[in-house]
Amino acid sequence: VLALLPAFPILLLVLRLWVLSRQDLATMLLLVQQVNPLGLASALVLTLAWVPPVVVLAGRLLGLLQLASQPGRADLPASWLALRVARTPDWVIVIFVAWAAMTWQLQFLPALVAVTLAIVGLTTRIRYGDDDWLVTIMCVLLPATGAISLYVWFGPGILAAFESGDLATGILLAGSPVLAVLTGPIPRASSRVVTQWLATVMAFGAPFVVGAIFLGTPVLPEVALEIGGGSADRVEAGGVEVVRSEIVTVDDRMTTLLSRDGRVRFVRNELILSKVLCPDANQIPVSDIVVHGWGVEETVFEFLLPPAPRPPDDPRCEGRPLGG
Amino acid sequence: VAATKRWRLTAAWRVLRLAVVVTTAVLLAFLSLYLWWNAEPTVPELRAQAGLVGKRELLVGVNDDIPNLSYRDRDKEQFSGFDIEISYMIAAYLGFRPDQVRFLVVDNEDRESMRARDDKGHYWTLDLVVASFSITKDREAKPQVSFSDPYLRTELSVVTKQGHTEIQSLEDLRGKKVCTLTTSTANTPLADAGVIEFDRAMISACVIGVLDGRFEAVSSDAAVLAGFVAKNSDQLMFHDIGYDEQELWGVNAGDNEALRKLVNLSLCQSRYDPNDRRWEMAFETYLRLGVKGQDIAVDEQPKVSPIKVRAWPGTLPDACH
Repeated sequence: VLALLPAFPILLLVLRLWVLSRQDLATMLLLVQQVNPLGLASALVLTLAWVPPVVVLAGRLLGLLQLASQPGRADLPASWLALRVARTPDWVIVIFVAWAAMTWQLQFLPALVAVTLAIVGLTTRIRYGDDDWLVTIMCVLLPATGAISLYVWFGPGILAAFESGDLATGILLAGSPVLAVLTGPIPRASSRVVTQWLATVMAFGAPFVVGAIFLGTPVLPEVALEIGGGSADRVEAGGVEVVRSEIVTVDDRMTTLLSRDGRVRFVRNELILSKVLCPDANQIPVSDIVVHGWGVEETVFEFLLPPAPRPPDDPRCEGRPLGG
Repeated sequence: VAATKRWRLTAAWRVLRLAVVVTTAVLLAFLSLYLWWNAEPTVPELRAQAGLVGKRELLVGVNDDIPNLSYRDRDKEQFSGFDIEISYMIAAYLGFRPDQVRFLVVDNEDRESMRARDDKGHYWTLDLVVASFSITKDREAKPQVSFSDPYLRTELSVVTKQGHTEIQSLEDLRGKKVCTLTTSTANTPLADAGVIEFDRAMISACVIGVLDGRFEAVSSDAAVLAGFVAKNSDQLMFHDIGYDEQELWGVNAGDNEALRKLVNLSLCQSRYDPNDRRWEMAFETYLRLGVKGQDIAVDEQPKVSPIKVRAWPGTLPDACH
């Protein structure tokens, strides 16, 4: 199964083009021929960079919980989850924690801190369970300090979220630090079933979630063009037609456009009077909660790097000519 | 005993951790579904839902005979007044420049059906009606009417010729000829007061009737009558009849819910953005007339309810969403 994993991104890219072409084979072949694979791959990486740490860290946590809850069960065969934990070296987990810290939005960072503390605590308990002092420090004091620090730092954000009725963000920020409590075993009887089932659901559900997210992601630049003359049957009053479309390709003679309903249109370059890039409304954040000047939907990169300028609304993106 | 206590404590922690694991899983699934199901629209999405994308002109129904409120200068072919400024303000938020706004004169009785005819006699269905349209429960109950939040607060008033004896309530006009608009909110109180009521399609016809003595008085909203009184201050006078119900004017967006939300967003921006002075400027220019005897309208924009919409941080006042 793991050997097939690299095929998944390719499958996603093909599916994306299939959806883009509105299931029309000729359009899809045109897209395959013209669309830059680097552009597609960039969209895939930028959109889904946060997913691998979710899978790896959640799998690690569940596996460790299972191992900590069933010590020395020689009568049972090792589960695939336990085997995965045993075969994944610690440095891989460290890399994925750093990866998550860079790619997760601020609202998910409390969960990252809490899960990391839980993984550290469980690992200590499994490996050095006899050392009471070490277990107390790593499984009680450290998680407690971490959770309290999170509540102190995110406190204003939690209050602001509940005050403004943003329940989802409030629950996420207030609930995540509680995960730091998972530094010890769960009831032995149910541990295998619970951890195994959750990991299985995650393993099977993740591709569908990833697919659904990526299929809704724009992979071609959306532009508005003013087209004049030459296509008299389509030109409206004022002699200028405004078209909002995705650009497939531009060569020295033609611009190839793909409309939202999947229609392909070729326009002679000399007929194009003006062109403007239209913003993607999906990038507008759902939550406007800010914690210490950091928007909860911003990643570390987005917070640290200078923001992209947001130009004023352009009438061409609304289907109206620029004209005066 | 100590061992039993410790065992119980350990067991309690195990159960607590299990509860945390299960609750987290359920909560994550629930939150994802909740966010997906309750996704608030963005302003561009609302514009698309409202049918504004690709639209070349915004058709706005207005009056054309009311000075300072909505008046058409036929020589210059220009509309001016408070309602016109409000229309431009809303249109700008919808993405239309002033030259992309087309004003059509809407008859009083057509403000609900949102139909208006142009100078050539062709009928058009309007996008918005901004025509001193008072928000009432009866009007709101009609399927083709959906009011925005109010943009002006005024009250019912009476205007007579200068020198008329003081009128303190509508009952003082019992048995007298009083003119008002067809489908005006003044119809009911006038009928209750026992006046001889005359209805006209245009308020200017009523004012002319008062000036030439055919009617004793004209009754309508103070903000409607103020321009006439200011223009003819030596011939007309206001009477504050102490009518206690405020008239709240709203914009009719027809059955277009997305458009109604956008109109409310524009009103909200104007109401709560301290740098947005367009409403205040319009009031100062057209409704601060200094006429005596009547408070024309409240000089503060009415409150606007928040609208569920996604917006870039800092682009909408906090009170608006």
